[in-house]
Amino acid sequence: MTMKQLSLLLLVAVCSLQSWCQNKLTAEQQKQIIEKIDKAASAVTSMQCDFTQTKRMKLLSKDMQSKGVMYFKRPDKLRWQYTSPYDYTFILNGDKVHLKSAHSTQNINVQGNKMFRQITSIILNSITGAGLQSTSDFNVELYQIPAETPIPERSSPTRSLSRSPISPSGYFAKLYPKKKEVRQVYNVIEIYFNQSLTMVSSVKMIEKTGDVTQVNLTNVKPNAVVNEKLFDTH
Amino acid sequence: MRNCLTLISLLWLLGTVPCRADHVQQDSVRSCEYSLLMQVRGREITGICMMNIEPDGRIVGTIVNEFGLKAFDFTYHAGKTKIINAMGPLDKWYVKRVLRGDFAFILTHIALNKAAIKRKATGRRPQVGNEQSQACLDSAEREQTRPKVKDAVHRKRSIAVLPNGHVRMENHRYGISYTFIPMRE
Repeated sequence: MTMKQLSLLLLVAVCSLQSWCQNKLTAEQQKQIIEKIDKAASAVTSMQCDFTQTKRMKLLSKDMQSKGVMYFKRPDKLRWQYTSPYDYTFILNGDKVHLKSAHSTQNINVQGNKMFRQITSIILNSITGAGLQSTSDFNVELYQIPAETPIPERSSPTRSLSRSPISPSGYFAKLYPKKKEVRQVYNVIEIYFNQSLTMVSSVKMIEKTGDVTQVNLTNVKPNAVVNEKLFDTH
Repeated sequence: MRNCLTLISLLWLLGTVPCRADHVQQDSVRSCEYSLLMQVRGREITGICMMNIEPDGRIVGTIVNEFGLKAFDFTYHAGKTKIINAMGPLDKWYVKRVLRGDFAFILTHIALNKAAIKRKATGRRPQVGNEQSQACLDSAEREQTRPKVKDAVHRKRSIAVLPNGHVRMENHRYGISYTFIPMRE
């Protein structure tokens, strides 16, 4: 085999691997999968899990990692609490948001802040995957990750996050924001689902600047008993 | 076969060279993380400030909120600061002008403070860009040996580097204050 033939073979192999790793679903398949996800999401009335957030910055060589716990209760109650390396709590209860850090406490009315409203909506929808039907906010594309395939790396404009713990097979949705407020910040949001499409396993947010934030949910307990006091905004 | 071996060697080299560069970089570049509290006319904003300080005093950093959402990136070299990748509402020339001035003031002090601490710890003299910077460094080192940290005031800005490492800067003209609380190094 000549050098030319070998290079060509290598090129073909790389191209076919890339297209194989991300199988975009047809409109009909997408509709079916979204229905399935939505059905599973509507069955979740409450949820509790741990999360790991990794931020990869284009400018710095180091990743920023934080950990915490999350509590969710339908329809719009959320406690997102960072426990390491800093303490920071975000509580959403209807239109009210309570932010608490080691140095300050703040109460915000979501209705008065358009950008905040959009971001809380993204967070809530990303937890259950229910946002996939919202076509006024996002253009949604669904992809299949074939079994035994490494997690797609080319989807991100920057270096991919190392050792992604998300399911080796399953589906992921790419959400392209339509609203100006979200477009100012994010290029695309990717939501990864487990194989049975019942739970979101990871959310990857690719910013306009090329930075990538990935949130991995672990120890997910759907329909867990969650104390109402956890959502107290006072 | 010889061509094939050449190709394998080339791929191996491509794979290993950047790893070595990263390793060297990790040894020489110091990274710092601060919890940031910003107060603007009575309103409080919190976030995280991450920065890399290179041996020549060059600083590259970013300000993100706790959710990981970027506010802006900054670079600092020889007293000059650039604000880049500012997010939508901050991406205005008049906002960036104030931030540039404030961060130039803050980073000058942080860089000098870090350099002095490093020298104290290692006993080695850190390399800085030019004579003026070296003079500032010497001055900062003298400050380090004193029991009290002297506050610095320049035009409408003042800074206090506290013994516990907290850095508080105030922009009196616009009523903005920044408190940098070290997280880890």
